[in-house]
Amino acid sequence: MTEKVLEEITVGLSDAEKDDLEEMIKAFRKKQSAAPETLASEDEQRQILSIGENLAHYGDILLKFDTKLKLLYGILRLSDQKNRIMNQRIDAVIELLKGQKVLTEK
Amino acid sequence: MRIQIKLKIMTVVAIVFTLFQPGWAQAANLKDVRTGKHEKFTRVVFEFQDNVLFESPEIKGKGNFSVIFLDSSTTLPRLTLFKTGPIQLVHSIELNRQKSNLIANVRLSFPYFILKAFPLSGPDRIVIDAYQVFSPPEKSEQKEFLREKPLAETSTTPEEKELKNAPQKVLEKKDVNPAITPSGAEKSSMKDTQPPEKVFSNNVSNPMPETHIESPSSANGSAMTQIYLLAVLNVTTSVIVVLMIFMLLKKRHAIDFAQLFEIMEFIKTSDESIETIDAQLKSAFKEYDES
Repeated sequence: MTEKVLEEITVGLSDAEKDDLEEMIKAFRKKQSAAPETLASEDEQRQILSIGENLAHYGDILLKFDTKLKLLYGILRLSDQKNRIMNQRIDAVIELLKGQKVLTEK
Repeated sequence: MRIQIKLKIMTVVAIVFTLFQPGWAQAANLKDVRTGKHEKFTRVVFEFQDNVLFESPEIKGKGNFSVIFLDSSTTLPRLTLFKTGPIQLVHSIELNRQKSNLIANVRLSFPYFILKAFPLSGPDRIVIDAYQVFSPPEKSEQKEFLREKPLAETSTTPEEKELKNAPQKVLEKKDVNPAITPSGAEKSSMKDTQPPEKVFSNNVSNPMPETHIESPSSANGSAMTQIYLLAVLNVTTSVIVVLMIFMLLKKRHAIDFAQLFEIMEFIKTSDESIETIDAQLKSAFKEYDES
């Protein structure tokens, strides 16, 4: 039951979102290299280029965080799985010791 | 703890077996008591299944005497009352168990008497003859015994033997009632053939029919068989109970071992799972560090 719930949790970006983000970053970088089509002041053009660079950079950072978040989530799940097994082992040993104690008292 | 329980069980079993073992087979069993009126004496015959030792009968007062049979028992009724009359002079016979001995208290319908007791074999019997006297006998008279060699047993029936033997008893005493004083010839002729006996007086007498107070020997035999069967049944029951206890203990152990094996199996499989998870974690951390 718990494992099912955990599996249903979506951590980070989905594949489609990730693809969209990558496309957007590529598009920003492409526009930076291409010559401006409209006539605008230099300041405005610089600002637009800077915003595009920043957006591409933050997009990269977001993708890296997403990857790390997914890896961390995988680690957490494995740790949880291990904890559960360890708890079951401890319970089994306690039961065994209790049973032995009952038999010895008898 | 378990060892203590086992030891206790074994002790109980040993006690039970010990209690069931003792000498039922060795104790002489009184299976019949007969009384008979003869011309000069009244006879009481105690018939046993086996040879029995007895102490000399004691006169306990007017009309009462008792005799102790060593290491013996009986299934006969404790008290038997007789309707006294001209041919029945025994009033009652009471049988009491004292430890391993059996005491027979006999009450006669006449107050004064002297006793003669002797054993017979084939079947084993103790015969006590009470000779009626008209004055209390002196103590010294009662203490005297006539010891003679046992009479050779013949194949006649017990009643025949008793009747045959009874008239041949010889009186050694001179100053008892003349009616019961034997002749010298009788005495000399019987000295070599009589069984050891305790005698006060004797005389030839005409036997009268004897009264049986008890169940026939076949009934007695079946009673003994029942006792033995009961003992066997008890022993068998004890064995079954002990076996059941052992089986229960064994089952309990089996359950414990099954549980233990289950837990051990789980620990083994969980070990493998943990190893796999550890490997996955290791690679996940590596991947995380690299990313």
